[in-house]
Amino acid sequence: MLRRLLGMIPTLAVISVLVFIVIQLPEGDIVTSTLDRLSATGVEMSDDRIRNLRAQYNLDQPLPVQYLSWIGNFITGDMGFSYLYARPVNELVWERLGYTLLVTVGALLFTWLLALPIGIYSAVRQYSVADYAFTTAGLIGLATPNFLIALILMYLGYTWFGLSFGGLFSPEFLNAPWSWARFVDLLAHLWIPVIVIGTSGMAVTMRLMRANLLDELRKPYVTTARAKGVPPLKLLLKYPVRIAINPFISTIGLLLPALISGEAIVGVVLNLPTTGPLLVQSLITQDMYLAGSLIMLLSVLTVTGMLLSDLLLAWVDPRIRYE
Amino acid sequence: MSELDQLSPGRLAWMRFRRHRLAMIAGGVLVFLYLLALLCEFISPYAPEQRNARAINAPPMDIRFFDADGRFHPRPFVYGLNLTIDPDTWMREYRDDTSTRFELRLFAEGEPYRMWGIFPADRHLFGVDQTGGEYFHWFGTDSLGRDMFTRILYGARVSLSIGIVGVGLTLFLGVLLGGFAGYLGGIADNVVQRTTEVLQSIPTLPLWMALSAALPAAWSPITTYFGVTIILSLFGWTTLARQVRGRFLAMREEDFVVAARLVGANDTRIVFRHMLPGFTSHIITTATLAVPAMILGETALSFLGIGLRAPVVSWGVLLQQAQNYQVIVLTPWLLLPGAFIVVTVIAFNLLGDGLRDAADPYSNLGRP
Amino acid sequence: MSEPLLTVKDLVVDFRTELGDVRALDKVSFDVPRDCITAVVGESGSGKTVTGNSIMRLLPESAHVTGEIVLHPRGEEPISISSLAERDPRLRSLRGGLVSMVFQEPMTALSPVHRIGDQVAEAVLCHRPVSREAAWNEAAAMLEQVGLTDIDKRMRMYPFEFSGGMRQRVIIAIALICHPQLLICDEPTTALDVTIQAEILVLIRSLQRKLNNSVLFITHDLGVVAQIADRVVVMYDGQVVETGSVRQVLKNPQHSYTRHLLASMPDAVTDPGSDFPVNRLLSVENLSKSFAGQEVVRSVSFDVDESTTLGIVGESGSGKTTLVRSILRAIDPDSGAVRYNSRDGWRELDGLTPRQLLPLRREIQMIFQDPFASLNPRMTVQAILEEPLIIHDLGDRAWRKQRVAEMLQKVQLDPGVASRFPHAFSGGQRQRIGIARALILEPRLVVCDESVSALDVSVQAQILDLLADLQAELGLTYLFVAHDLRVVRDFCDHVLVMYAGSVVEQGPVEEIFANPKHDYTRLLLSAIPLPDPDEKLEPLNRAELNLAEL
Repeated sequence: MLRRLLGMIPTLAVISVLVFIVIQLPEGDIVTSTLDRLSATGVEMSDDRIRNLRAQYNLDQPLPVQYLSWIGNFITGDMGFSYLYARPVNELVWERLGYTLLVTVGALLFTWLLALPIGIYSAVRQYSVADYAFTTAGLIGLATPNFLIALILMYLGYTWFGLSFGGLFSPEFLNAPWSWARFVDLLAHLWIPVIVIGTSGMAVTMRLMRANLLDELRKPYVTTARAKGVPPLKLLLKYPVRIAINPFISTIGLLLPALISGEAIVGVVLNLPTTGPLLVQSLITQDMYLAGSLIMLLSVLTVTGMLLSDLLLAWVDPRIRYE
Repeated sequence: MSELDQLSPGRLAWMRFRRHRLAMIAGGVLVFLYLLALLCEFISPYAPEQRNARAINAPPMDIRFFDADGRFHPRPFVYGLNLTIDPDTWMREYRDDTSTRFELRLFAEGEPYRMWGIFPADRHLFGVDQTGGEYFHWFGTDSLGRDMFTRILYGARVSLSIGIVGVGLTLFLGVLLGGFAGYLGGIADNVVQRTTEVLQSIPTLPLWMALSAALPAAWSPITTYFGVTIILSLFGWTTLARQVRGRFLAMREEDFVVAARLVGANDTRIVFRHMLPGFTSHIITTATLAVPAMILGETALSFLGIGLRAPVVSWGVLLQQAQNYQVIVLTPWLLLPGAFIVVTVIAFNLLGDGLRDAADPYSNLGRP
Repeated sequence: MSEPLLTVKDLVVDFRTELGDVRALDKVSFDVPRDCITAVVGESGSGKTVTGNSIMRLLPESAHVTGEIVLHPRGEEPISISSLAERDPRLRSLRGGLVSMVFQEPMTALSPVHRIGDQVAEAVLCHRPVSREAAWNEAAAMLEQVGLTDIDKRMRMYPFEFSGGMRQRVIIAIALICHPQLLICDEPTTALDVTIQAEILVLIRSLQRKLNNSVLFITHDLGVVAQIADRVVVMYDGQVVETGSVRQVLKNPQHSYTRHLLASMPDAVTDPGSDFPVNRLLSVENLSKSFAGQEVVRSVSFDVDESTTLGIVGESGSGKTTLVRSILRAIDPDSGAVRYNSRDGWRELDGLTPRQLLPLRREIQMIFQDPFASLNPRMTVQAILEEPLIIHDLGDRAWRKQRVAEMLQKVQLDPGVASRFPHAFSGGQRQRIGIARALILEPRLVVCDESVSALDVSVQAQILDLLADLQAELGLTYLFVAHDLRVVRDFCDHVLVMYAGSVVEQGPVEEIFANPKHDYTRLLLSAIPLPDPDEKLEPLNRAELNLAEL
């Protein structure tokens, strides 16, 4: 347990170096892009001011030192200053991260609640009409990019109901303090991004569940249980389904990066107050502190999710628990 | 001994694949799409940047054999467009102008182009009499009056090839590193294993986004194209490397490989004669199933404006015009590139499934 | 004689496959009398397992069944099993209630994520309206009956913490807990080591006597049949060819197939020994090998003379495969010396580089256990047999082709098959190809790693004959790894008994079999099921001998 927790640290360290390298990649830095912007408006800066600015952002230090100060600040909870929004990154990120988590976890639950039963049904009624129908639907969901689903949903919503989707709140609640009504409003908006993001994982989950269960159904312990006289439905749920579901707990770790990726792009299309649009904006404007911190945070989220899934798996599967 | 006993495993796999009807159809669709992309200069009736000022945001034009009076014409035709502006809402709307019939013809003369950038030509597979002021936009036009059909074909060239090139690169990295790890074992194996673990725990899209955003804006279209491809494969190889490694490890212990070692075969012979043929089919399948991820990745990045950028035409770049629903409500045909993406990805998935089933040796066809 | 418990009449089972219907059972008829053990014996493809599954109604949906299976339970109306609908509640009360079943694979026949106690108790709860606690207590009592100790603790454990023999006991407990009138055992001991097999056979026999039920015992091993059965049904190619009492069938077989099966059984008569001059070929000294800190082979020493056969026996986990693979340098041993008397004089095999080893590879070859896995499925027989010649740079194309043809003839295959791929051959034929590959370089020492264990007994007899002929003709020396002591007794000159990585006893076969010194050897020998109903098994008690199950 503790070993797993400690095992996260090197992974995160490597990721942080990677992220740091990536945010260093574009030519120039915050100061040069500031200067560009200023000179475009006709303002020139003295060399002294420039040097001071560089010192202020540690840009005069060698790269390893810059990295250490960046990651040091990150660990102590200071993610730097966003030039684009002229606000500390902390302020920008925290509220949005909450919504990202909400949408992502929602999408995960949606995927499972729908895909797992469908997968079970498809396996038990292999080659039935419904099996083919579900497989086809899943395939179309898999093949359609998330943002396209979002666009089509918005288009249909507008032409059929005259509604404009988007965001997580209606305008009147946008800046209102938390209340029951605001919460209901949130739920009324939440289902769209949840469905859109969840769809891409549906097909994979469905097919995997179907394949896993088909494998398990052929195993001798199922025959043993049948020969014992266990009633069919109980037999299905208690033995093969129980075991076929186990791998999914470990795929949280693989699904999570995909869901977070999906959220990033759907957030832009649906104009959600999540980290996705912030990330895209920061990347387009090369606000690299903001971008780096965001990617780092999302990675921490993913790695934590993987850890949780491992613990959960050990909890449900005695073979792993006793290792 | 039955007839099947005479066949090689490869022939058996091909027989199994041929019985997979969906996969055969998917293969056909893909061949067709790739042919379109290959010959897009010739097949498309316009040039990608050619503008038609008389048809801005024009809807798709129906190809007809019967005119408004119900008369049959042996040569297919389209009606010209009449622009009307609704006096109340100021909405622009195109209506068919039943008095102008533009007849379609084969090998029509049009914008001159260079086939594959080499051979100069000005004939297009089909089109209308452009010199006579006729026009034909099968899939409509965009806000600059550019022909969507043409642009989708040109976009196919970029989007479809990025899938193949990207997967080629992924394969190279995956097989090299996975094989390396699996065959050598020990420290090399550990390093590759840890690396794939780390890479797999990063949400890919944000990292892709960060890297593509870091591509200098000054790069030429072709350099950007390769830049984006490399970025896409840089994180795609991990899955394949893991699989290759797993297969290598398992195969190293297979009896027939041990047998080869015991008669004195050296490493090169064992790898190339005994192990690689054992999983080429597996690799081909995985590669086929990996192409859609590449295509979808490119599309997503370009859609956000941080992958390929105009003047490069790709399906993602084309969809960028449809960023919000107001645009889609007015000009839904701008979503057509999306339909091509969906069809391509589905086809690749079906083809991959068929290949996987066929590659599995000794499944049901061999013996009962 | 009272009415039989089960009558099977004109049972026909066809499997629908993509290549058309395949008939698995063809008009099978037999009775299972009350209060005795009936064995169904046959080789693979004989339809014995399909018969058992038909009675339990466990056949897949692709099976088409006609004919009649009727159960006459004591004190109840007869039940026509074959005509029950799949959803009929009577079918459920039948399965696990009146009829229950024990399967071949104890390692996978229990659910890995449920406790042992729950899995046994569930069988009670499925059939009788009792409380959980009562079911649990009943399960405990049953587990004690099948010979488990430390019941309270064991019931809270999971299957992966149990050895194969213990799991099979649990499965027998599950099968018997509702007091079925018919117990079907489908090869229940095939996956187990011989000593465990003996324990399980004795257990099934004693429980049958105690519970007064009937057992239908499916097996391929006539030795097991002789040990356990009162009556025998012999099956061949989906048909019943002979039925009768065990004594009648084994001592005085009527059908030619039964006679053939019996003749194929390795028997106690040893071969007269060889006339070749004694010439030491291999000398192994203090060989050790560990995997992950676990010592698998512990300081093993032995010598082998030319043109003799050394049998290496031991149960799974005893280290015999690791030992021979270390000698072959397929694995590098940790310590010890392997000396080999090559055509160019004595050589130390360990410490040689692959290049130095190459000429010796011509002299030392191996025949594998699994004829399906040991041939590259993507190469033709010609390519497979030719490869050693190419590697050792022998002859030109035409010569190699001729050599391959000669070799195929030597292993009694038609040279015309050289252009085919391995999938075109049966298990026995593939094993012949494997032998041809091993012998094409004209080796002197051949390691046979369980080379006949995966084969049906009649094929096994043919392959053993072939190996003996080739030894006589070419003066070969065999290292013969096996777990079937009957085969070893039949085929080897010397024998080496391994237990937990060490050699516990070695010597000439007659001596060891007649007068075993070590407890483990005695245990092994006491567990051999002989195909003679008059020589009943009386296996020694493992616990009393202080020998742990590996």
